[in-house]
Amino acid sequence: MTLYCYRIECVISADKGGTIIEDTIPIPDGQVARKQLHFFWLADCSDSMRGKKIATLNQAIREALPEIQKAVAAYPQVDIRMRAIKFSDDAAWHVGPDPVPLDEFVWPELETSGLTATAKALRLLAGELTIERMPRRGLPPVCILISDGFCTDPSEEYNNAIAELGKIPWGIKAVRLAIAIGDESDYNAPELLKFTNQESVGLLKAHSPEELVAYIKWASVSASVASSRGRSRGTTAAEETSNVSLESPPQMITSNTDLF
Amino acid sequence: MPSPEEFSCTCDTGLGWVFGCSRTGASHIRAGRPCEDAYALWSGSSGAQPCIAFAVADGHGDPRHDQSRTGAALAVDAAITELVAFHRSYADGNIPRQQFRAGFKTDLPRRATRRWRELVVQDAGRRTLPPAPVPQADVQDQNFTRYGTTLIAALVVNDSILLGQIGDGDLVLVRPDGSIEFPLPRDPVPAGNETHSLSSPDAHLLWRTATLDRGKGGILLAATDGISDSFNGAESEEFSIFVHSLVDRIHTYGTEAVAAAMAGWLDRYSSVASGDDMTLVWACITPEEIRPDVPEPVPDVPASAWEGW
Repeated sequence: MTLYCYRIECVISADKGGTIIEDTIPIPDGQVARKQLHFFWLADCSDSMRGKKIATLNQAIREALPEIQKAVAAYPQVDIRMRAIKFSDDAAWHVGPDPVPLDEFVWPELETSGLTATAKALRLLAGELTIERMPRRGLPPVCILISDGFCTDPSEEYNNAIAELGKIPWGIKAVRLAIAIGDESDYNAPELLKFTNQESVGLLKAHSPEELVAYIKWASVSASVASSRGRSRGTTAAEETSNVSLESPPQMITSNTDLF
Repeated sequence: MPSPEEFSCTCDTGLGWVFGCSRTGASHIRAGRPCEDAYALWSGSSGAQPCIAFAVADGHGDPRHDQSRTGAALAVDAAITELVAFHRSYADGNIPRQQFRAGFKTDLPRRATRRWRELVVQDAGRRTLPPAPVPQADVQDQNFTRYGTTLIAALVVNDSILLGQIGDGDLVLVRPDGSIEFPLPRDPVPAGNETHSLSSPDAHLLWRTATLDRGKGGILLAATDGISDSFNGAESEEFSIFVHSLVDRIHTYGTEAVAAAMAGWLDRYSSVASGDDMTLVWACITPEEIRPDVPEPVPDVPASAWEGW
């Protein structure tokens, strides 16, 4: 038996300007596509968010967008598509359901009213994370839940929505983070923690506008970058967690004079 | 083991030609990471029976698979060794075709997986590896994980094309009439960057295999997933357009010219699309010859259609 190998040299052509190396064959047809990363904001716009909280949230997300763009510029193969779900008495698309390319995404002003239908928002999210609605070879989605209160849907409905996310492949693989706003007695920390799947991060607790801005920026940028790395790995039968790991969030040093 | 940056090509055994090209992904270059793909080509004969064998592997990029570059190289080595040994064991025995094909489906997954594991154990014993990024209780299982990789293996013989695959990547056969066949079902892992792996404890059960008639031949492509990902996946219409167009380029410009251009094309796809390492092996398989002792239908493709292959 014999192994025959040789190196094929580049095509060299000459023109009047001198010798150049060029491709003489047109590149094959076919529209190339970058890998999609689907990003979901889930924003509480219940009545308790009125005033400083919603104003800070609106401004912080707007300020986070260019920072995400800047951070993922190192991953030009990634095409971030963003959507937003708002929830109060019910859950609805704030931006969507069609995903918007990051560089075209605009955050419309969010108004407050009503209750806190977090479970309905999670179900709306789960419906978008199905195999049929997501690109099979996409990057892990990023889902950031921001809320200041207790879910007013029945707890069974909330738990079922969390369980649904835990059953669908993209729900499992997604980077799921939650930011709680205000005093810890005002929101249900264990409930929000159930949504998250990053042990090193846990529940991000924003006591002040300054912390909310910092956490929205940190969470959105860190999750986008971590998901963009998108390195393949072998399946392991016993493992049903996100294959993206985030570092611990930064320590917040904030003044106590401007709490929510 | 040839450098993955080189083109290579096996000679014409009467079955056809096979070319390969592997390029470091744009995202790997930016991050200072090496190419984690590997491929190997082989042609020769046993008992006067020619064969072409080739293999493509894609080492997992996740940090827990920190030796996957070596794992991929060992995988193509293991595949070629087993494909050639398999061919030899049958070529000398005048085994009926159906038995030959059934033997491939039964034996290749087990033999190639076992060979890869032996090579991993040898390599891990020979080198001093850095501490494992994700320690496991069983050191041997930990090493298999660290070397984790996918693998595509193909064997072309007189009357058959035999294919095996574990994990992602694509095998596509374009027949002379332009029809595209995906001989293997896709990797059943449903979402994201996960894939079946040689490092899985039950790896030999995770292979997909197929046996085809060589018939009128065609162009058989084996590619790591970086290429189909650049066209939104192998199921997309754009990937089919790319495959048809590539085959058209081969017919129009000839295989050597396409081989010379391939590195630039793959670099471009990686830089503007998936960013991943890219490896493509393509075999130009000539039509099966009619032998008096084999009652096969006469190929109706004119010989001129294959000139230049």
